[in-house]
Amino acid sequence: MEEADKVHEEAPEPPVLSDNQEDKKGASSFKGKEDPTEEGNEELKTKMQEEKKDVNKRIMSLQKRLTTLVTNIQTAADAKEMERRSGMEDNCRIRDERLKNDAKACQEKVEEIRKGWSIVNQKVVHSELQSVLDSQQQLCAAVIEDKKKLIRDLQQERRVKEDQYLKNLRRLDEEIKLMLDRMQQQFQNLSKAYSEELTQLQGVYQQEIEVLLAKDKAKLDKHMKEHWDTELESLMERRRMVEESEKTVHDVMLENTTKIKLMQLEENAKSQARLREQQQMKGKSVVLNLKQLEHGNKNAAYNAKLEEMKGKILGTSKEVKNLKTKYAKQKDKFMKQRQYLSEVHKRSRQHYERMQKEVRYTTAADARKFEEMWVMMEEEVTQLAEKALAIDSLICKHLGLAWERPSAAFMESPGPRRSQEHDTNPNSHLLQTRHPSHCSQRMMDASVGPSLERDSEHSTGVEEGELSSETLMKVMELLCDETGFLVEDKLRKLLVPMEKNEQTIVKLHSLFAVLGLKEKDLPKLLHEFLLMYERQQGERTEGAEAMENSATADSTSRLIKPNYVLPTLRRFLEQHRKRSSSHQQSSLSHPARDTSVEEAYWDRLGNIITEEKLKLWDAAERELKQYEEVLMDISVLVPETELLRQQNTELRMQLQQILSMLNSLWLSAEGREKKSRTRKSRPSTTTSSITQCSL
Amino acid sequence: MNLPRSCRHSKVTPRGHKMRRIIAEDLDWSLATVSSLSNLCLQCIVNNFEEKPIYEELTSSEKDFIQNRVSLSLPLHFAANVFPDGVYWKRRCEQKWKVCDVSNYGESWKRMFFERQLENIIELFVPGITEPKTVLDMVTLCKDHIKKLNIAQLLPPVKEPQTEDEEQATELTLENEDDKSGMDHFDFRILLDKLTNLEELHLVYKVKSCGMNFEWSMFEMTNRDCESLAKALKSCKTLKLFRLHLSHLEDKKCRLLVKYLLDHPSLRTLDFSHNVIGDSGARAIGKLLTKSKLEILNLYDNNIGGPGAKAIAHALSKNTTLVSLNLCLNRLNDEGGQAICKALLNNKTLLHLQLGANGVTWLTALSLSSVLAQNNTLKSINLSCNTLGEVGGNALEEAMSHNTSVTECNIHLTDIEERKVSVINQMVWNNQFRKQETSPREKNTENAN
Repeated sequence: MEEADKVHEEAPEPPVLSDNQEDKKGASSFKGKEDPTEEGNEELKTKMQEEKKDVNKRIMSLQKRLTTLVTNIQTAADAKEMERRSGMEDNCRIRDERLKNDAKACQEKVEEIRKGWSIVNQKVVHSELQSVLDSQQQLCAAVIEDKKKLIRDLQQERRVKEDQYLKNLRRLDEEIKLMLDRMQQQFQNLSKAYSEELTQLQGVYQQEIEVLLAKDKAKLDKHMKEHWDTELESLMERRRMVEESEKTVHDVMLENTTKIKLMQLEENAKSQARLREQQQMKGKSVVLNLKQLEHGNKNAAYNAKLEEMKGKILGTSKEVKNLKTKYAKQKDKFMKQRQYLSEVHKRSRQHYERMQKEVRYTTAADARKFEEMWVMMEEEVTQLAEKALAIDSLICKHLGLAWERPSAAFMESPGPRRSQEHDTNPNSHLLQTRHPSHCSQRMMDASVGPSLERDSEHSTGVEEGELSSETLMKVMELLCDETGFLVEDKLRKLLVPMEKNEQTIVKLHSLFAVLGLKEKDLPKLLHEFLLMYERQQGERTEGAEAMENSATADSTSRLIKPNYVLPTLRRFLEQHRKRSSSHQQSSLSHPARDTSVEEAYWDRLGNIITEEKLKLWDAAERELKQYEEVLMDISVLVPETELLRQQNTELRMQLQQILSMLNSLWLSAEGREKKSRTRKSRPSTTTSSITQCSL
Repeated sequence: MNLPRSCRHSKVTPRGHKMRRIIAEDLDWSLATVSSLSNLCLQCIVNNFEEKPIYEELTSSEKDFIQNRVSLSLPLHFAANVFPDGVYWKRRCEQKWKVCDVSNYGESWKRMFFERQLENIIELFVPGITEPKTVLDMVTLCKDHIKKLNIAQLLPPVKEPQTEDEEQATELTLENEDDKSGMDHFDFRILLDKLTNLEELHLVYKVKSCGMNFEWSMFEMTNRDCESLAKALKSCKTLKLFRLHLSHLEDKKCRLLVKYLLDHPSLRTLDFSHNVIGDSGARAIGKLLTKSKLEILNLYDNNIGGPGAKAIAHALSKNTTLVSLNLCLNRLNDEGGQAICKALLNNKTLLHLQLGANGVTWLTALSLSSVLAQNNTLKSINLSCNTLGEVGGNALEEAMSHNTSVTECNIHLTDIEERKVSVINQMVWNNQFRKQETSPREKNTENAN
């Protein structure tokens, strides 16, 4: 349990630890500042070292923080295990001792019993024997009792241990859970802190590397420069020396020649003197040699210096190389990582592209399918309409009403979709469709109406205005003058020698380029201006159309007030931008379907049979139904009448037969009566008539 | 070409409504949505991959397509030879396991798949029931890709339910049959000599989540297991790391294993942590130390006492390769601790020494501090959970003030005063700092290693 407490105590450790860490950091940074001042030789160096130390400290503190916690936990676990082991050993020892004691006691008792048996063997008297046996029995029982007690105790102990073990297991489980929680928490905290630290460290390292590189480069440059300087100096010195020596040589030679000449003059007379002279010369040459030797020595010294410098350079270059290898190693590592990641990235990008392509493909396909379905539906509906019309005509004909085909032109004209398809140029159609919608919009917008009206009026007016190019030119000039601040100075200088017209045109071009307009927007812009002008006009003189012509003539001279030009231009630009953006949108998105036209079309199709017609149809149906009922009744009655009619004819025929028979009978009877008046003949006639009837 | 278009003729034909019924059968049908021919071809290859594998002659993007689509249920012996490391193996891994950290497997998905697959097979191998052929088949496929095996359990053979007669009989012959009781685990001899790239082997003789069937015998190896494992290890010439932990390894088996490992050509790391190795096992390991080129030896949580530690110390005083020695949680006591410390007087290679939780006292601390004053190679020391006391603390503090090499020192729970602990820690910190300053390059190379 003590250990568990310890674990609990450890739990709130991380924040404390981090605090410590921060303290340490503060301390280290402070120290980092102190140390270099002690060493302080060069400012750059100290700064560098400071940075380096700071980074190192941070890295180390990071590593320490990483490991401390884990080692703490491990040592705690070790201690616990130690404790457990020692406890187990103690228990074993105690148990062993107890068993040993027991065994000893048992041994003693067994000895006693054995002794008892020897006594038993000696005893002869029954009662004595009995009592001894009893005592023996008691002793045995005592031994057994002892053993049983021991066993019970041991079992008890075992049970206790089992319970303890179970408890221990449970506690361990809880601890593990706690530990897991803490680990999770710390993992999160640490990973966050480390990522921050990492970015910081990376930045610092980068800086450090840069600084190091710059420093090394500077150092190298400096050394090189120094070296070259010294080299140059020594060279210069040598040259001077050489020149000096040459000069002396020259002098000596001159001297010699003069002396030789003198000697030649005194050739014979002063041969001895000449010899002496020669010796003198020799001495001087020796001096010269000595001098030259000296020069040689100096050169050697310079060379040695050079060597030294070279060694220094080599050292620095080695250092640079070391740094480079370090850098290359790092780079390799990161390159490898990057390669792997870029591969993954590439694969996913390919996947994405494929998906996009598929999506585009399917949308196009769906759109086409939709179109086709739409067209088919249209056709079907027109067919249905035609069918309905045909039925209507039939009904009318039946009712005897005059029927006329409603707006045949409309029926023949195809639906908006199909017409669109028929159109070779979809753009023109787009324009067409847009135009009516625009019109309708205009009709609906009553508030905006007037201005637009004016617009349209104006457009006609502009057409007139367009004809007068003079006005246009003047407007353009005005525009150029007013917006001159947008034109660059250079351009203006270039334009000075040109003609006025050309000037304005070029200026306009540049102006348009600045404003982001195109050539074709020019007329619109001019319209805008003229519109504004007209508004001015309206403000000044309302009505009086007759005057207007003259006014325009005036305005060409005064034109528009220059103050109005800029606001107008701004307004125009705003509009233009809006328009262009909307245009772009429409071009980007799917060709927007013009629902209003289609709706109208469908409505018309739906209403091809008007309400009145429908009522008429209903009435006609009702009438026809009644008529049909009557006809049905009649048709039921027809067979009956047929039957009756047949019976009638049969009966009539019978009657006639009977009548004819009767006639003949009458005739024969008259004859027989004439021959013999018997009553026998009557029944035979009746029978014959009956047979005929049955037939 | 298109059905809806053809339907327009229904105006002409009187049977137009009949043609419309074709559309009604499949509303989604449209030729326009059929994908491109190349994709169809690739899909066809994918569908018939098993009968006719076409892979090598494709371009890289097409290979990607195939790897992304091919069925994951292709037989392994087939797939192993066709696909190199890549998306296909990634898919297979992710289908099989939830957590896949490829950085543990040298960024190779294929290696990860085969290693974990083989581990799985071995972990579920039941001797006597599973055919050794399943393992061998797998091995022939993956022997080139496996560098590391981490086996977390080994199942014992299934016990026949014994009748009473048999039980009595076995009781009688228990002594004889103990060794042949048929409780042997998986035999590594059939495996290790075939894996030509194996470098690391982690083994545990235990059964995961055995529940109420718990038996002690599940958590130890038999003698025959030990012998076969030792022979298998000897046959695996590339092995660099061998770890056998939590397996109730006793002296006898330890000696057997060490006997076969004595002249192993490549073994550098040996880890017998959490076993029950005693003094005689430690003696054998000491012998191994003198003969092999071990660099890291881990005997954490064993039963080694003073004599065993002396044997190891003796080997250590002559050894020139060992870098790290971990003897935490043993029973060295002062006898062993002092022996080890004395050995360090002659050793110039050991960098990390761990003697935590060993019951050593200030005596060992004294001899260690005499080592620290001389030896400048030791880098980290762990003496935690020992009762060093005041005297030991003073000695260590004194020694640390002369030492410049120790950069890690763990003296938690050692009864040393808090103040001294912080002083020692400060000195260690200074050492570390100085080290960083003087040789950052060395540090880098160390990290790289």
